[in-house]
Amino acid sequence: MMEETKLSEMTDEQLIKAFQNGEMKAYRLLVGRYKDPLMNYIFNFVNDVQVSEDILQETFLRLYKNKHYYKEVAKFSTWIYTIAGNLARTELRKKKRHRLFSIHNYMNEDKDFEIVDDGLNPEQQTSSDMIQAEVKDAIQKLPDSFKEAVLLRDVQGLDYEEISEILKTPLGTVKSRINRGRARLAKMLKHLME
Amino acid sequence: MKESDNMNYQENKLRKHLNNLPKVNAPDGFEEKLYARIERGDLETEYTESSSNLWIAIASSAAGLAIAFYSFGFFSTPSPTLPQNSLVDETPVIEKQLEDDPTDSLKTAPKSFDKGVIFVKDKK
Repeated sequence: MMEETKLSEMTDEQLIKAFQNGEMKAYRLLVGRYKDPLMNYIFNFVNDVQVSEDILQETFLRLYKNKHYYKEVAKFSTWIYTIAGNLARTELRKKKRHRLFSIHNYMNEDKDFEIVDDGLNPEQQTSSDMIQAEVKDAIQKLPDSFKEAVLLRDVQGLDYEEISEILKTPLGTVKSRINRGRARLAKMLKHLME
Repeated sequence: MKESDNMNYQENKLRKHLNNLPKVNAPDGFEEKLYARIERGDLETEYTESSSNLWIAIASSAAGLAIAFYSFGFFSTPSPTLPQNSLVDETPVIEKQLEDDPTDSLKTAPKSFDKGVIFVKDKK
């Protein structure tokens, strides 16, 4: 119990180090910390719950199999977002090739998934649902390079430097992609901006 | 409202919409499924490139390249049946014919021609 308390107080980088030294509990803590933010990121990227879950599983399996590839020069979050982002991009390319990708999967999805309750009444909820559906559609219409930059910044809340490392793209290009992505979104959602 | 103020207002509004998107969490039982797979040693997924898939990809790329090169080569290799090539090939023949032209003797007047002219002139 004492050891677990200690582990839970550790930073991500300390946890991955403990996991590299064979501490399975450290792995479980990392999964617990990152499963929800990564699921949200992947889902906003590929817009399909089942595929997002598969990618999330694969991300943590890779963390398990390739734990020794992590070097402390980068933040752990950068590394894990890079793995998830690469898998999501591969999946998107595959979907585009097979022309099966639908931006409306989110609305037609039968499988249960957890959405955080925001405490709105039914009328507000309907209006809010419509706005959210429009925003989601607009995000899906962005070019992939703009979409991932905007999602990492404005939805996941990562800083520019970390996004630059995750996307392996110069800082200036990242800022430009975010600005251009936002401008396109603002244009598509003009009626919601007033 | 200044243009920059308006832009800031729009950016804030947009960021608010993005922040308000519903957060999708990992489904219930996600961790149990993951740890069960790890315990079973079932670490391969459809995202793991198998070596046979890799060879198929390499073989198809190589075949594609070979076809592309063959097509390009087919049109660019000199062909003896094409007219421009026959002209090129004939050029030395023409030169050779000129060298041995049987009408060469007509290109210069015979020695007797000069004599004849002189003879006529003398007669006047």
